[in-house]
Amino acid sequence: MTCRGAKRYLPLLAGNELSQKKSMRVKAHLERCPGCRKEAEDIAAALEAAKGLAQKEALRDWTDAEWRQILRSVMSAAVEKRPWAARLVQKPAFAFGLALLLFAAGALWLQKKLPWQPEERDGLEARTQAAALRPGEPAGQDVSSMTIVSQETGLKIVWFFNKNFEWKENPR
Amino acid sequence: MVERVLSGDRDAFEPLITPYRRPLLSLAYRMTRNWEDAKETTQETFLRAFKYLANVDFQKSFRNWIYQILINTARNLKKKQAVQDRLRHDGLGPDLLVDSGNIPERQLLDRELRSQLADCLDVLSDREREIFLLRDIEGWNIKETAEVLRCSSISVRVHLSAARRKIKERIKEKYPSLMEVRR
Repeated sequence: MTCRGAKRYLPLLAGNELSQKKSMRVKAHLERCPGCRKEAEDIAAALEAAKGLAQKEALRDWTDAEWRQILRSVMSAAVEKRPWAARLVQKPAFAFGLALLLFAAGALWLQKKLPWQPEERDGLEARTQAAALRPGEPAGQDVSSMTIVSQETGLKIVWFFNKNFEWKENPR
Repeated sequence: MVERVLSGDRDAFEPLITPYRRPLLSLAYRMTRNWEDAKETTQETFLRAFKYLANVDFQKSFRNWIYQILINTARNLKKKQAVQDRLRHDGLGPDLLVDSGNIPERQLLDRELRSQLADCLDVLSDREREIFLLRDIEGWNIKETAEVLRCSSISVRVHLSAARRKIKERIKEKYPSLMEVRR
């Protein structure tokens, strides 16, 4: 191992975080190289010094009054600040019901949008029109129609089919 | 304990967090280097812990979870207040340490220790400081540190190496006597 390679691992060697194999290789290099050995000792000493400073730094704890105050404020704030909608959504039954409703709404919307579905509106119009044109016949009878419009003259021909698909021209 | 709190027993929250009241405060102080910010960070941590207790993953450690909240809270606070600049100038606020019994020598020693450690930590980037504090000061292992900071073990090793080098340079440059004592 070269000095450059060994120096990369010295900080981790100081914390004993190298694998056994790598650690042995680095230590073998340190035995041969006084410069790297000095560097390793410096890092280890500095690390110990920093840990020692932290241990001696006697940080204070909460006072009992502060601690009680924190507990009170934490609990009151945490409970009251939750919006009712958030609380409701977290209930499994409500969440399931909401998901079901959304699914049903989505399915309904998709059904309306499917391209192969007949245009219900046009069929309704045709039935209404047919019923109006032939007052003698029962209003509920299903009648299909086909409209042909001439682009040149604007002549409009409407064919109505009865249940046998026999046709007759618009009497108008 | 967590289940008890979730089932509505709010009194069970106190024994759940009591073991962390001092360690969290200490870590928050070392991250923010300001007592008021540390108190605010820790209080906000407990608030969030209580609020989001339902999100605790029972397969994982509660300690890691609450430390994760603390670190995120401290980061957010730091962003808001640009704490670092202020700390460099007036970080030695009042009553940071245990009452030293009005012994001037002891107070002087505490102040010196605090300023030395603060000075060393100041040379680190935010990420390096978080990793150095968790691994070397709190004594967590690499895996736990990576889990709490939500980064890879490799990233922890890289930042830890950099942090230790910087600390070594700073101590060697400004407090060489500390290193001599440790040899």
